[in-house]
Amino acid sequence: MSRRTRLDFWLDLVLVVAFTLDYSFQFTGLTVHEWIGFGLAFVLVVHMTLHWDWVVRTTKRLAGRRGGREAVRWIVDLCLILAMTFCIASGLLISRHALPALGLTTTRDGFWTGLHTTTADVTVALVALHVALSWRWIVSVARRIFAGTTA
Amino acid sequence: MTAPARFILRLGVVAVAVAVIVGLGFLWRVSPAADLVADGGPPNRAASASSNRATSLNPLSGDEGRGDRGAHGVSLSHIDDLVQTTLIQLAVLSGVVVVDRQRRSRRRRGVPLGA
Repeated sequence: MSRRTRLDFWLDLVLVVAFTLDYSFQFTGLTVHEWIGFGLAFVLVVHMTLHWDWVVRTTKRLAGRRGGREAVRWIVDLCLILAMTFCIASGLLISRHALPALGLTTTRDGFWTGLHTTTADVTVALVALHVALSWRWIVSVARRIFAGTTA
Repeated sequence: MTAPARFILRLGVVAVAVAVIVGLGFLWRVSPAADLVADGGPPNRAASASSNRATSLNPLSGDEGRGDRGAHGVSLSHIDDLVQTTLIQLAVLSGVVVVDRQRRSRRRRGVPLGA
């Protein structure tokens, strides 16, 4: 198995676990919630960069075509990028612990708070959908990784 | 182009895409559609009684709620919140996997997908 496949698998797993923890706001508390969100911003940018060629390739292939599983995945991913970017950006803007700890000033704007909670609710469903649409790849790579470590 | 150079170029493109989305957020904030997500009333508007209620109900708004949760950090007594999130994700995941398996099974047997 290539190093890239392993990197994709572990990075994706970190993103899913981190987002699941982050969405469980009452469990993490605000400080941990904000720092996880801050970390998510960086990992998400790396994730999008690593898969940018897929975005370009699929966009070109789908141009002028309709339907299909790949089109569904492309639409889900587009919505996820929008929702997650809004969610993280608004979270940073209304941060009370993480950004002020770095000396940055944040806001108390009701719009950003509302955008943050709304997009978080949308993102939790889209993340699950995003993972689900790649479930065969996940099962296949997990089998190879864990078969390799137990052998 | 070398692999690191290609990565940096793509990173730049992604950063621009993210900046555009954030910019759209700022445009949304000043547009009439801001009411769709505004919590505690739209920006720069006096808070009404209903918006005050919405603010107080929201765990992310208000100094007291924020301060309390931040001070306590991870709360094992609220593990049900984590369980709930995991269940939401597992429900969506299972639904898609079941539908996908059924579709594939039908395709193998030559049954039309709409049948």
